[in-house]
Amino acid sequence: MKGALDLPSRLLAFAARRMPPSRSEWGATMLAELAELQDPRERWEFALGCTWVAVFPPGTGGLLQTMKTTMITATLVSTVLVAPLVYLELRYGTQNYSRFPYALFTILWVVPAAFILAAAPLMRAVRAGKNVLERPGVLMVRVVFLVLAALFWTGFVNDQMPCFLGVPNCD
Amino acid sequence: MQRDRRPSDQTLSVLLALAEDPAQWRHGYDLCQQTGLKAGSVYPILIRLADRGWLETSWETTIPAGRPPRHLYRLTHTGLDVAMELAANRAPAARMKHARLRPRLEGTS
Repeated sequence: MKGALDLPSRLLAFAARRMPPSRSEWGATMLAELAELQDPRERWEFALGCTWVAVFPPGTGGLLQTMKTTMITATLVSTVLVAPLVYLELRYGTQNYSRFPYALFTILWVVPAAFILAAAPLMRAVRAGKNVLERPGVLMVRVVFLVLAALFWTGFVNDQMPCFLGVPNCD
Repeated sequence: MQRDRRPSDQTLSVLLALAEDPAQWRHGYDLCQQTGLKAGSVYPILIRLADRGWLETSWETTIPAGRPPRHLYRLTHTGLDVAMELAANRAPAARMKHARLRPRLEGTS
């Protein structure tokens, strides 16, 4: 099998091993199909798409499982985004201030989590091949919220970065 | 509870691709290429079609050395009926595009 040990194969194999038993055959299916592809770009595209399917296989646990997965994803992504900023604050920022800014970091954590919770239904709909334009009003509200949340978070981080880096007299 | 909804355009594309030659076993990547859909869209559709009993799956029996057997797909009779019904309900232009649809011959493997 050509390319059996390359990164796309390893990535997909890693994800496929974690598929629920009821879907494990599909993991083997996608790996076998990947083994047929020769072009590196095609292999990456195919492997990334299949990895997504392996991580979030359709219809395995109903709504509760979907909610649980979304919550876990939101928690992990928010934590990964905020952790470097917490590190910077602890390493440099607190040199100038006596108290750790819990409220600020709570906001920085909650916004990406809310972003993912709002984006998840849209992502699932796109992935399932549904027409997201069927309800344009809902889509518009969701997209506006996502854009505003992204702008707010990046702007907030940009504004507070000097404080995280320990610049004196920042606010 | 399985909801009976109208299939999405992507699902319809996969159904129609499979229905073009219903007796023919197809590979997942071929379906991606024919429909223009990414693997991340095609495989969930295939999984759902199989769950609904619209898709018959099998593994290759003749396997060239050095690679694993590939998974093969074709529509069940129910799936083919659904595909033909959906194709018939499409706009006339789309119907012309898929005019090649033909029922699977009885007894074909």
